[in-house]
Amino acid sequence: MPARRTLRLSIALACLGMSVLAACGGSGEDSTAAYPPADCDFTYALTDSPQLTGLDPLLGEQWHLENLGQSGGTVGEDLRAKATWTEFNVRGEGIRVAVVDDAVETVHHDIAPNLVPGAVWDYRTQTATPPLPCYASDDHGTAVTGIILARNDNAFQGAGVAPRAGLAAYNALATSTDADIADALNRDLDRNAIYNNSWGSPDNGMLNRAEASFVAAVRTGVEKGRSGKGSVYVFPGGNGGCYLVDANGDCAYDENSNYDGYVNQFGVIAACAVDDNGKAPLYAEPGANLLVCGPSGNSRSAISTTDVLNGFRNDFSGTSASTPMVSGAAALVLSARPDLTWRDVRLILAYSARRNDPLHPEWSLTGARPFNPFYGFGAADAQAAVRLAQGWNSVGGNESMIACPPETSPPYTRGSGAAPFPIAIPDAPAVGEPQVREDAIAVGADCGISKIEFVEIGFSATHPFSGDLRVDLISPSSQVSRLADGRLCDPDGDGTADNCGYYDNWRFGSVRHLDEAVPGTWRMQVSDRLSQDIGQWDGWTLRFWGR
Amino acid sequence: MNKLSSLASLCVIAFAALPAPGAAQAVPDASIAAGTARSQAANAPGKPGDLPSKRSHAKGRSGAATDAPAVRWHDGERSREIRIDPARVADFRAAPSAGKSAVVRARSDAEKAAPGLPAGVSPVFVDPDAAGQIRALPGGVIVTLKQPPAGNDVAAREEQARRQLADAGIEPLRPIGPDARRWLVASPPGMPALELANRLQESGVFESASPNWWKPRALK
Repeated sequence: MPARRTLRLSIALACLGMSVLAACGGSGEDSTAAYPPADCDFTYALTDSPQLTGLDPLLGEQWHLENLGQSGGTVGEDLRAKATWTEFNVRGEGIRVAVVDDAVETVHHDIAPNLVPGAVWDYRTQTATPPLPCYASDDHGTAVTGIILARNDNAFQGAGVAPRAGLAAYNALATSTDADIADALNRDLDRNAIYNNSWGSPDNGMLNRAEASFVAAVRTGVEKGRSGKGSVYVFPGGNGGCYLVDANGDCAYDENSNYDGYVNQFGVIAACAVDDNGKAPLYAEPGANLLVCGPSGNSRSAISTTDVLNGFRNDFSGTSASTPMVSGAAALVLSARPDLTWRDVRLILAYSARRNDPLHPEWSLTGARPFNPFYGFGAADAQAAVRLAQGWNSVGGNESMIACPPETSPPYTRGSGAAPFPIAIPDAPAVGEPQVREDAIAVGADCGISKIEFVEIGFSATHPFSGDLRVDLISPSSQVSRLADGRLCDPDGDGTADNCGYYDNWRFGSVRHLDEAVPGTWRMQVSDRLSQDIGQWDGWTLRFWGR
Repeated sequence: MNKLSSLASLCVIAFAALPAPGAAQAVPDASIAAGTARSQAANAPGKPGDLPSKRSHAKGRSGAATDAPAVRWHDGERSREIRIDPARVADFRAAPSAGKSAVVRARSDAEKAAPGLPAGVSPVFVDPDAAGQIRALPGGVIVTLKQPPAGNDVAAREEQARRQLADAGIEPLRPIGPDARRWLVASPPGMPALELANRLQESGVFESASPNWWKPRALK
């Protein structure tokens, strides 16, 4: 968090109307718990305040809704949110978005009008009370929430992307236990259309596996959420671009979103970030699992959104900010077409994304869909998404999705002791190109997927420094998912490199092969990019989902 | 491309300033205590020239905690090894009155000498494949039933599951998810939680049983 604020002492904050008084703790389902504690920085007092109408005075600062160059960026490099409101007259009505975060100031004047009465859970007390900030550092979720759904036309501050969407607020990050995280992701599944999660694993190059309870929760959500249409889960790709620099201060290594197990799950939309010029900020990290980017900050400008103590801030950034942009866009899509499934939303966001920064060297235009490992399928465009949604024929939800092999069978597998595995991986040479080891899996025409939606790749290798390895998956049509690359890791900061984690049937996810057909020969290439150590490749697996 | 200056402007959070194993000072660091990491300082490039060096086969699989005792646990179908950090504990007794989910601190002399930790205090565990990344046990085990309880009535399903759990001698705290198949069940913090999870997993009565881990997650 940038050093941007000084500690503020307790300030009374007014609530809006009687319905919000309950949300403020006056009559919660269980308000007997001793919270907030006496040492909170913030306390909230309840008074009525007028519900205003009129233009939002700070709306013009919010370049991410409509970029007129007001931040010094490029006109038109935005989410096209205002254009969506105007063209389609949708602002998120009827769609409920759950914010899973550290705290949410649900009494904020720009948030309170959208809070669904009773749609709160405070994991500090395990009660249905608003998860209000306590300490000055509890400001993250309030900023995130405002990006999604700060109220419009209330003559107060600015507006969110979907300013009439309903809010459910859960502070599972306040306790950060596996049970609370899983609980939040499945709370009120019938009513929450979207779960925004601006959090993830540390961005330090390490492999961080998603816990089984998380995987099960997402799976449950896409199968059972919204009465079977599936809930939409949006997570950040991460901010680990250039997480280590060299002696000249130049970027040495980028994190890759494929090292974060949370965003390797099918059912999770991984959101990257673009700045007000439509370009990757310096913290951007690549990944084959990135679907689309939302607007966010760079070293010059940031995102304007709600702040604690009824405030407004102009310094929010990172993929914490781009993630709620994508959630807001998804809310607009579902507001226009509430019948769509979670798969529809993913596809619509991907198909309608703008190919931003067209001269970026990593755009691949030869596959079924243009893809860039820093941008996924491009910058999310709410206007184009809603337009596409209006005429969209649903692909269905889980019931119509094809898995190859079927999920009752093991994935396509190579290795497990069968020749030629294990395959020795030669060390990177001091000079010249490393030797590449390759293996292949041939998938027959009995797999009926003509349009891939997701690929899950299992990878096993034994290596004392797994960060040495580059891992590429290559499709029958020669499109490449770069799943890992050479890097150093030092999570304990002791100056000595650590193993970046263990490839013990590690699960990568890729959306890069969207709309390709499965049948054909899939190749995996593995090479060592950093000298000094050798290892072996033990095997790999593939499973596809699509239609 | 010099990215140093701009990283400071991120709203990224990381896992700042965890004390090294063996550090003597108590560190009720707010970022750790909150369960989330508040600055990327530990991971962001601090100074040019400070790239970590590779030491041949440096820490091996056991990472920084090579000498620490190892224990096993089950994450769904996967059996995993983890090591106990002999120098630190996670203290959950202060939560939530201090607004903190855990305080990671050095073990006191009394805690080092005693055979067990006080109630509400968990050992800190280090993933052997992720040096520097810690977790702890605030109490509770996540249990998945082999089959979801039948029927459309939510209350009846929950009651059915509660009976099943009670029959197995465990106390259900709350269901996780809509179908009453996954539950948080009661256990004390620390090693008893891990031991109960392993016992339930190995009993074959349930599809899976995993400790309810606390671990820092990064706000991005």
